[in-house]
Amino acid sequence: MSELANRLISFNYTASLRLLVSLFVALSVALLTGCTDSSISGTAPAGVIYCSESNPSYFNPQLDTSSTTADVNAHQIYSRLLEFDPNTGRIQPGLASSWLVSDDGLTYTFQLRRNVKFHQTEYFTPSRNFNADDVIFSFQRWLNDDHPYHDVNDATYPYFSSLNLAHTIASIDRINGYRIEIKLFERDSSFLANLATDFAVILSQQYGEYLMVTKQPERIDFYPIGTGPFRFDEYQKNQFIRLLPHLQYWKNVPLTDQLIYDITPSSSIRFAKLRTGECDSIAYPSQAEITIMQADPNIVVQEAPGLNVGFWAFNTTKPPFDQADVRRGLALAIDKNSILDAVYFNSASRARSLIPPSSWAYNNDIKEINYNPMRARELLDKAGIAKGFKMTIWAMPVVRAYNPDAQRMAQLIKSYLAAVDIDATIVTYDWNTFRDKLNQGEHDSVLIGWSADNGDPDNFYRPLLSCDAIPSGTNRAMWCNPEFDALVNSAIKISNEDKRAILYAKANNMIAKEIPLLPIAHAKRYQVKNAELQGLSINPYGSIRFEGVTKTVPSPTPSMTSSAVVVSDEVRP
Amino acid sequence: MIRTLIRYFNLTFLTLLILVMLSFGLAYFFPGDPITNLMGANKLDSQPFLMLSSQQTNIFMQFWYYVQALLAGEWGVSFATGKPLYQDIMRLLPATLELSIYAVTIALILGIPLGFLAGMNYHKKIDNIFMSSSMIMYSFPVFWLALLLILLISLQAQWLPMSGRLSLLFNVPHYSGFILVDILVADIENKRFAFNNAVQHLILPTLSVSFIAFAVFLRTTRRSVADVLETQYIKSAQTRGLPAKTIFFRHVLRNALLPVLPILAVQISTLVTNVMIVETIFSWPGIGDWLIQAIYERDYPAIRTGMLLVSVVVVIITMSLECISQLIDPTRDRFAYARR
Amino acid sequence: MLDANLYEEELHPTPLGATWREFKQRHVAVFGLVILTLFIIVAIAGPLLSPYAPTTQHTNTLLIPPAWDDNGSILHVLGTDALGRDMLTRLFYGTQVTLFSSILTVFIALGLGVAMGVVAGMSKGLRSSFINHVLDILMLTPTLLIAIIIVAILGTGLTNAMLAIGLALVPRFVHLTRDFVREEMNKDYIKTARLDGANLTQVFLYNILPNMVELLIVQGTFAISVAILDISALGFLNLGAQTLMPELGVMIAEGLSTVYIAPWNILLPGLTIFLMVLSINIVGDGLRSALRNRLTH
Repeated sequence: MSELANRLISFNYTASLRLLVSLFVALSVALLTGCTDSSISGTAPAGVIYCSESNPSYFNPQLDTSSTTADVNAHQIYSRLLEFDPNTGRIQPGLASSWLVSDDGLTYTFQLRRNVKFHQTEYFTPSRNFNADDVIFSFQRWLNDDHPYHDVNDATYPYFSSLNLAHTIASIDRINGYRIEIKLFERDSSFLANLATDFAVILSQQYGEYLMVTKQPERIDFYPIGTGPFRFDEYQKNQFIRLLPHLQYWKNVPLTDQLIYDITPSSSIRFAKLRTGECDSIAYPSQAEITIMQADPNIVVQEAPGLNVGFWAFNTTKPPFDQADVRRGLALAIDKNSILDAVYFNSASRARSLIPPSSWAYNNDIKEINYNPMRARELLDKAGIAKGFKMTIWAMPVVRAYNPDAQRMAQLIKSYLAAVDIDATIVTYDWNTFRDKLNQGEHDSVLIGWSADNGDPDNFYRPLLSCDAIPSGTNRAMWCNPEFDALVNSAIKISNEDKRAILYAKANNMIAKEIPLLPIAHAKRYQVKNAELQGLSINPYGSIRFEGVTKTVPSPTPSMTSSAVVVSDEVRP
Repeated sequence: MIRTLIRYFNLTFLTLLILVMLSFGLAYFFPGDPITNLMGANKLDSQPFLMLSSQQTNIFMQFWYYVQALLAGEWGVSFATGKPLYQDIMRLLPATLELSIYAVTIALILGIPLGFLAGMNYHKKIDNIFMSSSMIMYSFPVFWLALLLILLISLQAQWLPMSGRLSLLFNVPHYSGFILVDILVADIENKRFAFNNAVQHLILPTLSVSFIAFAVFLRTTRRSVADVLETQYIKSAQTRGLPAKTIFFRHVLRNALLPVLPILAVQISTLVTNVMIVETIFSWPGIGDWLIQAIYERDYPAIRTGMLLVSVVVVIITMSLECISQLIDPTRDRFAYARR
Repeated sequence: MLDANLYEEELHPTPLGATWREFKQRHVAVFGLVILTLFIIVAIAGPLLSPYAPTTQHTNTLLIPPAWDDNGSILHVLGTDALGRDMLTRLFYGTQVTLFSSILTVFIALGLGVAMGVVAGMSKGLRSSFINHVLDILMLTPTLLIAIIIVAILGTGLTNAMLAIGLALVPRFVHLTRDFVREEMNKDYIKTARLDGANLTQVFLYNILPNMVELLIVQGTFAISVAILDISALGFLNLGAQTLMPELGVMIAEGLSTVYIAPWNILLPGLTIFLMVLSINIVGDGLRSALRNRLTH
């Protein structure tokens, strides 16, 4: 009893008291507001507000392939050894100022940049600059099962494990403080590209050690320390994220005074906020509204062909979806063209295979499944699917470039399936729950997709359909075919593009025959921003970049620049 | 008077106890493990929670530990954010209170005088205008009204912002949670600009909530005034030749205001529902928006605590209003609900 | 022999008849009744009249504006939504779903409420005070909170939304009935009936109930308007009826994603709810005044 009394005494009453007093003050303030004069001068503090679509799962892109997580972290908080040039797609120096590849393609040596400072924040003050130890720490975390941080926050490192990178890398060695050497087991033509993706970020080894000592290692993925242009300041779930500029950033670029992610799940509300000036740029503009945005002189619409694919994946581990004929029957019942109209508003091209036409590995003579409900029913009858068969279509709750409205797509597909006497139910959850349940294979079929992280075609094949990608949760069809795996694995050992293209054509045919998933569309990528925002361009390889983005002070005369700026079509390396 | 106070105190205490029991029971009704639903995602090393989760405790002891934890401000941990619910709620509750207070204040300031005006002109032209327009006002679905306001005022005319409490560019330190107070207290540049910005953010949500409340207050007051004017004592005062001013201030005003207070009490729960809906539409970072988000994410500890807290606030406010009106007017029936 | 026409025959209208005569004199109220009747007709017959099914997706006519617009089509008088579903058809079905689910909810709540109110009103002591206490809590809890709890336990769906709103409405009817019954129980005509040997059930059924029918009709009418607002609000918040069901609140929520190019997708369903609630409120108000006038004359 006395214990309870103690607790009651120690309870923070001042907060409650303060609340009560404020209540009265607030009331009187409300009454007085009418009397304040309206001639209020001054300007809002400077800063850029980006309206994002959802909450990041972590503040570390190693742990998550979701682009929401990457958009916040990958290019803002962290840097990588290598970077993609956003215009040409070529690999550029990042934290590694130069690198060497041995003739046998198995040994990579990286020279690291000097005088790179980590963030100084309220929760951590680094005492040394970036060096080889940080690179080794960051790689060992996902590479080495015995690393103290490997299991922190139940991390699965989905991107790396879907590519089986942990088994590609033989060793990482420190040669000196600013030089490291990575050895591979076998040649991998996509290795450098993978190091330049959003996920291969560099963490601070010193911060990791500090958190271990203070016994709170789980904070590493929520209170990040990186070398990127912005440092973490505050995050309120479902509300906002505030990042502040890293004044000792290693690149000499202008940084805005603060970068705010205003979390706004509905795309129409994001657009509304862009119009009212509450956002400077928005994530995933609705395709339906692009024409209205283009007509608005204050809004700039940037567009680029998308390296992405939206698809309908069947859970091939669940009968009867384990039969290719059933999957083919269902695929035949769908008219992709009407989906392109209704969901993408013709801002997408019809997908014939996994990879978009802009990729060098694209082949024209792919066999495509066409709309044929009669044939669909025949196949389903043959496979023993009775009329009135019930199945679920999982529709993701968020907007993605590859699928701007999965709910609407699901409803269309449902009505097409009803025409062949299949009774489909649409299932959806909160985005994080949704992906957890997908990983556990609870779905019959799912509408989802993939955006490329780099220009290499391998980035579509292995993460989406290889056996290794099932546990890492990117293979939504849960399809495991050794023959297919062998094909795509041999493709990455070759550096000749034409020879690789032949192997990918074979893989395409295998997908067209087995239909673990039905590719639906390759959507164009749009980026929409306020005309006053300077320096923001579409990053075709991965997530958004805010370094060098600034906002001009509103000028009295509206600028006469064209409202649509089309980014160069040359997006592939 | 003391008897009334004691009775209301007892009543409030009992009601709160039942609410706590209900919220404890909810943890058992919700899907999943009851103890996890009570404590939340993370392992907590606080005393009551350790006791709560130990195997030997029976359900009555569990309840006792639960009450202890509640009183100590250990309300469990949200599934969704992994943060203690106490922190979250203390940040969100003031925002909701702020919105509600302004909305009710405006509705009262406008509703009661206009209600008097209508009541004094019972069945005349001005009364009819007020009655028909207030009928139209409270037939509006609140979410549709809020959307219309956004469409017309924020998007078409671009006069006012449509979401949040303050432009996110302002970094106002948390002091009381009431944004206007925080701005006044804060040591920031462009204070007046920030204040102005916050007021602009307040206008549309406040308007949406007070629109409907105003109509209800107006009608209630008008009815009450009309009833008072019918009474014998007013008639006798008139026959005695008292000036209209005296009659109004001495007799009508007090007697007509008395029944308005309990109506206010009944309206609180409707008001809270409306505030919660309006919060989700204007992304107002309050408890309603948070609770609805919690249900989408199946964050059971958050739902349990949020529900408990909101109903406790509602019960305390309602009971105080009831108690006050009982003290002012002892002849009144207790709990004269359901009479509009 | 007595003359049968000893007295001039007087026509005493029945109480209901008298109320109706009062009601008829209010033009606005009658107008409201006409609109409400129209809504009910639409709700019953609309699905038969409409040429399409509410879920048929006309994929080549997406987001067609209403017919009076330049781009409108006479095939879809009120336009189509983002999936090419005919707006008019969906409004017909939406009226049906929203109106009938509200009426059903109110009927069930009314039945339960009256039953409990009678028990509370006729009994004294502990039982009565317990019922009162539980009901007060239920009454104080905002509808949306009840709905959130029910959704958390049972999941989303129209039935669960109706359950939540029903629960929130029951206390209204309990209090109403209890107060009325208490008042009547002290009156002489009840005492006479009791002395005649009528038991409590008989007293209620033959003496009290007929006297409170009108009161219940008035309160029930207002309850329907509250139920419509709440059911559509829950649908809008995605806590009630689910997508695919043409519920008016759900339609507004769906329309939000295309509000720029097709504002009629949220304006029309909202207007329907508004007019429906308004007409019910007008009728309820008219009924109440008519009742008050009849009783005071």
